[in-house]
Amino acid sequence: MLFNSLAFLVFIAAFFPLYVVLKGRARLWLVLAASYLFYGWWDWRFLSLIAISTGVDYLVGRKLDTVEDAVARKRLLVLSVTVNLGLLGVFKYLGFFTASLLAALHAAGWNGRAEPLEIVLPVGISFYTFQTMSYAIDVYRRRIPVERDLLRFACFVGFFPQLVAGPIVRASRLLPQFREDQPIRWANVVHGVQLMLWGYFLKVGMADSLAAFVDQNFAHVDTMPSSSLFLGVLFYAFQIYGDFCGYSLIAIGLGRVLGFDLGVNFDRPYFSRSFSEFWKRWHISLSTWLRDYLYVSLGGNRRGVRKTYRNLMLTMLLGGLWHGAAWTFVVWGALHGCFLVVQRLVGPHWSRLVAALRVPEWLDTVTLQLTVFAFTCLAWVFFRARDFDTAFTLLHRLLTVDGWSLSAVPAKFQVIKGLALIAAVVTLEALSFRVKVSDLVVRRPAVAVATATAVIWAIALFGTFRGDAFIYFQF
Amino acid sequence: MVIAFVGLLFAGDRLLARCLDALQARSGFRFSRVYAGGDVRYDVVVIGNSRGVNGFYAPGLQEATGRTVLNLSYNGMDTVVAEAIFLDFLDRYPAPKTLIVEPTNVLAEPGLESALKSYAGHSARLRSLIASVDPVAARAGELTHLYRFNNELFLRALYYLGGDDQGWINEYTIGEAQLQKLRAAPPETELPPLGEANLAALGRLVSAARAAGCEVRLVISPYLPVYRGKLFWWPQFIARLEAAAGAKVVDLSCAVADLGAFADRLHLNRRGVEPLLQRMRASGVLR
Repeated sequence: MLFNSLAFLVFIAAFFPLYVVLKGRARLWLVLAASYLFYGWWDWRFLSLIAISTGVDYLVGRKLDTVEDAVARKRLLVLSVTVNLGLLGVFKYLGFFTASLLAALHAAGWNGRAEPLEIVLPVGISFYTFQTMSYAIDVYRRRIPVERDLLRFACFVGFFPQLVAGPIVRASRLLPQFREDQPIRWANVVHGVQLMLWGYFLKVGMADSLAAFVDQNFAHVDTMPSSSLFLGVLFYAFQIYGDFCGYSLIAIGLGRVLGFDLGVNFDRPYFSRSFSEFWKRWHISLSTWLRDYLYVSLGGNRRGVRKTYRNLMLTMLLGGLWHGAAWTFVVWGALHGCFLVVQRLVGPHWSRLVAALRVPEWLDTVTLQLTVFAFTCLAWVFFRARDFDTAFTLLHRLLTVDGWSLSAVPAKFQVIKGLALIAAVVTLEALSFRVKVSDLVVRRPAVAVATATAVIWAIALFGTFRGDAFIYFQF
Repeated sequence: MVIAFVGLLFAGDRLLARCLDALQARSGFRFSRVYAGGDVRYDVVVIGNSRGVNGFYAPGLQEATGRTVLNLSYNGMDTVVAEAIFLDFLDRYPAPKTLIVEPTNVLAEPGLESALKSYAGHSARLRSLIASVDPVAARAGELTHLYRFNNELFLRALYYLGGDDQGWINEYTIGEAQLQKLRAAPPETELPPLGEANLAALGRLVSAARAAGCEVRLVISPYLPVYRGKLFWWPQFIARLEAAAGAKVVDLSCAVADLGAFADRLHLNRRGVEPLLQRMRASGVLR
């Protein structure tokens, strides 16, 4: 069930009055039933996977609460990680690894015939498995108390606003909120609706409006003019941002309306001055998960410079692989790992140079932001391209001198609209550094009404209603 | 607060939509001209899809013939839409002396209808077309009038505010990579599906134009020779067109041999304008 679908509107219209009326365990049962209906709408068979993940981590948590022996505790943790990563491994990566193995065998001269496995990827599996694993790990590390109530725990795992594409919410944040009925507060409803409206604008107003041009360019990298390919890459950077941030905002806003705090998942990432800052602003719930459970577990930056670089690369490689079962995603992750390493090497020298030359702060900021954005776009080429041939052909075309004529760019009006939407979003986000819109919206009803109507008008005037699924559903 | 919000939402939507409609009406964009109406009598009106846009360059035709020309062709316009637009034109302007139809738009799929929703308030024909092809868009356009302006045609209307869109033509030339692909492609032996609705609309368009006193010329503009030579279904296609229209087709599909005169396999560019005009004179289309 997509957030931008009629079915979801009907679902939420039916759910909300019942949610307001019901209290206590009845409300929890409603949340669970609604969450499973929401998820099962795609394919009811995959409910069994959520149930398995929920059941295993609930039992692991309960057992960890009674076991003191370090070895036994570790075994329980390994069980949770194995089951969750096993589910991920089978449904997400088995087909990929078998196809890669077959390709390697063929390259080595093997002439046998075998069909790679085609396994349907359950929506949201990368998100809820990570969410339940974080619970088990935090209980193991004794950072949070165990949850004894299975109903509450199942609601935490399957909570529909964030079930299929995040944010990945830690148990320390979300579980306590299920321990008592969250009141429906007018301020939360107003704020939540504003977040959802802005999310819908980012998704159907910006992301889906950019999609057709991006698709056209990435499908014809060998014939599109370089100027068009450049715009295609730029548009993709904002398509994926609008799509994913839009989804997150709708999820977080919906949670807010229901009284839940799901955190922040994006914080104006394209204004980052460094790659480490970028990863504190982009998909925050995943990057902090990787930091806390992978990077830190590997040793973080506590074991010397070389191991720090190794840990950064490993974390980003696996982060890339998390996004998709394809080598292009691994390369995308590797590129970001390289960017982080290079930043550590070059950063101090850059700061000294800037200080020595007395470069104005604003110029230093803009230079760094544009640099980070440019290299992020370079990495996005691999993220979006269906294969390496497409990615390298596109990059090669961008480096050629010919084909940079603006008159050769197709669909000029689509391009103008896209650029205008990007400019509007960037401008509003820049302004948000000076004005906290969310506070204004909650404190001043006139501002809330004005901004909500303006966003709805903008969605009506600029939205593209192709019914596109959210990009991150495929992860 | 909720009442203020809903009130502002709908009142503002209607008011803003009226403003945008007034802005659109002042544009030199072809469809804005149609629905603005006027007393001007155009000698020649051209209608078709993108092949009509690029095949019949209005300023060139005007200069060559000394007649006033209005090109109402648009990218993706199928014959059903072409009929609706021309009939709406006849309701608002004196009938032209000559109607040139680029009839290969019978091959086009519906698609332009939804984009025409910004003019739907001015045309019952367009409203009916949009409702039949895209009922959701039609209903959405009733719910929010701003949504009607959510399309490329409105953006073009804004672009041509205070201007004239008749000089619109491809400026780029087909690349060598594309040419090589076309040379290597196998011939097409099967006639592509022709929309029966389009063929019927072609017949009605020709009849209506004749009834209004127009001379009707069905003129096929040039194809890239490399591509045209692979269309083995061509004679069959011409026969179907002539049967549907009840009129002879002037087949200029092979009229231009210069590969540099083409933007792609289907469309001329600016360099192709003059050679085509010469052939049109020679074939008697421009009398």
